[in-house]
Amino acid sequence: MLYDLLVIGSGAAGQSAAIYAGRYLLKTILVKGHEWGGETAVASIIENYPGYLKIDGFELMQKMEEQAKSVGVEMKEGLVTSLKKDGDHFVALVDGKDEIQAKTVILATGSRRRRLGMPIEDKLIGKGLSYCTTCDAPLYKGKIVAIIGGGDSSIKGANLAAEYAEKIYLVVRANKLNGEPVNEQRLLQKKNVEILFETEVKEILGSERMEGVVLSKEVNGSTTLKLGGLFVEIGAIPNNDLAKEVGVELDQYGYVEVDPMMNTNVPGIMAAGDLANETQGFKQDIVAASQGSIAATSAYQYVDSASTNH
Amino acid sequence: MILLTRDPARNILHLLNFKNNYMKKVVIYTTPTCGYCKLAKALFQEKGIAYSEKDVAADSAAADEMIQKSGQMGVPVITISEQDGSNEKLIIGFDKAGILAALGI
Repeated sequence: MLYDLLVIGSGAAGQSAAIYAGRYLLKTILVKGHEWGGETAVASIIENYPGYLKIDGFELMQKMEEQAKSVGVEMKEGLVTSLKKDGDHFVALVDGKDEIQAKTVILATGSRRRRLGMPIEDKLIGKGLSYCTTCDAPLYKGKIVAIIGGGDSSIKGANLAAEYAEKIYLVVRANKLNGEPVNEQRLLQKKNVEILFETEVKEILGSERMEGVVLSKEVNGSTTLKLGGLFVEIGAIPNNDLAKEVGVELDQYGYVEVDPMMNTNVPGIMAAGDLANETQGFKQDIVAASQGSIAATSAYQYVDSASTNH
Repeated sequence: MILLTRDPARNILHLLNFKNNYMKKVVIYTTPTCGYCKLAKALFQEKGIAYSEKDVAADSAAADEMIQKSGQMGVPVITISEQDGSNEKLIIGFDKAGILAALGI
């Protein structure tokens, strides 16, 4: 069967694209990927999605998927492992075996959490080192912990960790924070959070368990900081393997180049959400949802003009 | 297969045997703010798998139990065993393939 549209990814961009595509009466299939709901599903509480004073990200994604299903979009489990152009359509493989053919594709594969790039990280994950502050902060009751990063996920993580840990060091490479001002304001009210600006982690200490870090400058007279927990929240890297495979143009950071209608350089392929470079790193649910709707509109126009020309 | 008979007591026995022989005991250690824990629970619900949940943020004994079993200070941790607790498999993080394999799905 030839679908009008294949949406790859089930985060806010993918589900929003699916909702709009369904309403455009495009025959649409969405392949969910390994982590259903994308970053939103694991983001914990969201307070800036219009229409909700406060909603759990997981619940928000459930509602989006329900809405996409209600307009007839087919949902498929699995990961798209290959994407190729074949004549006037595209061929995707799910988990290396199930073939899907579609006239257009929306890439909404998002991004994954960045690591520090130190060899010891693999060994210490879950042993005092975590990449998900919102998941694991409640386990560090009464401990001294550090969170690396000065962006919004780091700041939100610190606000949560402050409810549990005795003391939190926020290790920030820049000379200022780069989060939502409302979250920064909350952070500055926490008495057990100390922000270390213009500071980097040079080394993680410990062999069986994470025991501390060596910093680029002294804190309390030493560059060694003994810790009970270390959280890494230093941004994300784009999941661009499929984009590369199908010949989509990327920017210098690996994000997909798009025009204002979310078209890529490959006719029939659109990108939306964290993977797209349109908003210079402003990664928000409302942005992803907006881009998904625009990408679906472009898919509709593409399918419509192709059928008119034939 | 469950062979039902006309004897209700025997049927209950059959059902218990079925549960003990075929249904795994699933425990998930979670925190309320953990999205990956929600993904794992949604998977159990989708597959019709009964599970019990231990909130390690609220229950420090459960937290100690999880750390002792897994050596992990991160959630989710999932244990999948026979009903009597034997043959326990430990799954760290939301490892969908690992969960399905341990459940024999």
